[in-house]
Amino acid sequence: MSEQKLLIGAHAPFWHTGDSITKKNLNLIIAALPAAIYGIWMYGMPALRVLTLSVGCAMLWELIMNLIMKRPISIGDASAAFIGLVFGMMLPATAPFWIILVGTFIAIVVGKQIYGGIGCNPFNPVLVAMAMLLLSWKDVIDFNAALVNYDFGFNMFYPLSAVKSFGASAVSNYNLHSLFMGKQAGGIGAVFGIGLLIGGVYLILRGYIKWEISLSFLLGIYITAYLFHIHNPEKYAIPLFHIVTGYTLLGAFFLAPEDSSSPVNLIPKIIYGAGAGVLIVLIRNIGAFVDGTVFAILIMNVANPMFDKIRPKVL
Amino acid sequence: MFKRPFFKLIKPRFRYASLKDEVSVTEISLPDKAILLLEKSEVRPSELQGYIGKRIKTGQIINLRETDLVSPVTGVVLKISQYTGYLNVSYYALHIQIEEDEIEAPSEDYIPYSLPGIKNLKLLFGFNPPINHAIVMAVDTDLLVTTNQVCFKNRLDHIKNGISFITQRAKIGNISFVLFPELIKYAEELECKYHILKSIYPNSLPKLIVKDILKKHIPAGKEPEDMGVAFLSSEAVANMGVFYRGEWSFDKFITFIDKDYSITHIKARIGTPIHHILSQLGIEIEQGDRIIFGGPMRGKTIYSLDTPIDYETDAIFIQDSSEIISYSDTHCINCGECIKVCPVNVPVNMLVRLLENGLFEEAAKQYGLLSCIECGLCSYVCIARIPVFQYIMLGKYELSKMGE
Ligand code: SF4
Ligand code: SF4
Repeated sequence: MSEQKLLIGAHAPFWHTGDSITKKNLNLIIAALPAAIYGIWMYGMPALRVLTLSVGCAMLWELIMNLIMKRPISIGDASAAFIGLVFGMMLPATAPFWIILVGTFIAIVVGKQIYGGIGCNPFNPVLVAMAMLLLSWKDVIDFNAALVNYDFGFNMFYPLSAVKSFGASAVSNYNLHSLFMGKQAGGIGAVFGIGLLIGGVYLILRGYIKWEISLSFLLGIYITAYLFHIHNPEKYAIPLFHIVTGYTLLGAFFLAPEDSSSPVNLIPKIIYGAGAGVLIVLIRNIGAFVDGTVFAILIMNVANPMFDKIRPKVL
Repeated sequence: MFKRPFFKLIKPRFRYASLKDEVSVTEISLPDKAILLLEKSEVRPSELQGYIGKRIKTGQIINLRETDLVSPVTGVVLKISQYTGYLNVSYYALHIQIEEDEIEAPSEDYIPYSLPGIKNLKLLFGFNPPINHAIVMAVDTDLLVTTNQVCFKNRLDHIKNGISFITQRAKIGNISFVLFPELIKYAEELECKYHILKSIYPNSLPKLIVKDILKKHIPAGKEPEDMGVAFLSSEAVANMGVFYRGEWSFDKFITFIDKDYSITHIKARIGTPIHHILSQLGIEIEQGDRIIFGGPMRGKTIYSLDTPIDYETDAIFIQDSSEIISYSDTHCINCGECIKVCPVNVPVNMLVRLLENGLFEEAAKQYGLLSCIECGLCSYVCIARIPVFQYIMLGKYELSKMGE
């Protein structure tokens, strides 16, 4: 040996995009912020309390699970924070402390960590928690009851409950444009349609979500709702109404494209997105629940591994 | 390094480096000591022992068990040491004290095992099945590298003779060239058949050429040679031309890529240790840098500054320690980026799950492990920073061990 200098050995390739899971999650959080901030602006301290508690609890559960399972500490990848944020955004501003504690526990522990952490969850963790709440503590997230004390000078009746109970005629009590601008009752971060849309477009342009899913999801909703509507215009609301209410836009950009529980191949992505969209309208129009987003996406999560068998031939 | 752009709607598209201007080639002088590598599987140590202390001449043929060593230098054999390379291949390393060249010309009917640019020249002679189509690569197989393009442009006369070598000596009539559009005029000068390749990585990888240009299907795990197609670098063909005229050529053309990505084309004798090239070019290596033989996507790091230039060392790429991005042991998050970039539709996200758990046979059967053409793009884009390409090569290596 002529001179000894330590060289770094490694396997090819020696370049990398520089991307990381942390960067991705931080971008997801940034994209969700406009809608979240709108919620805080509208409801003030209570909304801020729900969101910060939710993010904090989610990270805490993650940390506790890391320690119990003797795995590397993973809160630095911001995945738990994002799950906490989206979960909080789906709740009403009046959500009690214990619901957040239990909900984030279900999301992080039952929805994610017991499967092995990030990348191993077969279902969207946020939706696992929401489904549990919907089934067990329905009243807590009944937006009409929860937000009864708020009056912002616009129709505070939860739009999806209105059409569910009174048919398509109820739509005339709302103005689509103001619904889109966030003038409606609902989850803290789920009502500000334009904010969610901007966040979603940002994520698509930056390549951080599977845009095929978002697009087919929205199309699935639009087309199904349209078919219902032309079939019976008295009973079923117009398609755009479905797009701007409930968890639709949150679902399209922040829930349905969740990496681990959604497909990776083109055709499966389209089937998955469109399928969830169709199911949402089915549940809303003829099912038992007011909003079908949570269950529709979960059902598609279950079917996801099957879809991904449809893939192009190798070589 | 090409980082991801801020907006990223489409998958990354890498262009190969191309030659615009005339290139000058810097000649590296002979080192004091050269090192020749011989694969252990091809020689017995006893065969080599006898040469210690002896003087060998440039062009002298030393017959060994499975191969011949044609010495690229003149000098005295000092000692024999051992060296382990990529995929656990082990070598004997002959250390030679260099003296002034004394050349033994090749005999009329001798065919060497290697020439600069081609490690296994015997491929053209008596391979089973016989090679009936030779494809000459005037393109390079990694980014930033332009060695073959330089050889094609600067050594056309030798290449002409090389074609005669292939048709006359190897009796292969079907020869065609593969090149990027910029080099068409040189191909026309040669009056040969040629295919034009779009200059987008990884188009120039042999298996993709077979698929996209020859429109033939390669079964998983098979190589182009198994279908009678041999890929030859233009440098190899140029050196066949020199040899056809009755002379030796032991100089290897190399694209040298410095830390700041400045490019120098150099010509160095086979066996020249890397530290000699670095000192000739006046380049300092710091602790923690990488020296890569090859390009950024498919090269191999070396761990010793004594490592010599070998017959297929097309490029030397020095990577600064600050550019190194380390891999991680996170799970695949199923983001699908690798699926978008893989040129042959390998379901990489499923593949890594199996490879991480050592399920190599299943990976080959169900998820196309053996169809991977080794471009490295999946690792490049992996957001979880999984060393996907490394897992793939490990999988292939383990499978080949099982097959033995
Ligand atoms: S290295 Fe990766 S991207 Fe390239 S062919 Fe193989 S699996 Fe596909
Ligand atoms: S790029 Fe990496 S994390 Fe994403 S699906 Fe492929 S292997 Fe998994």
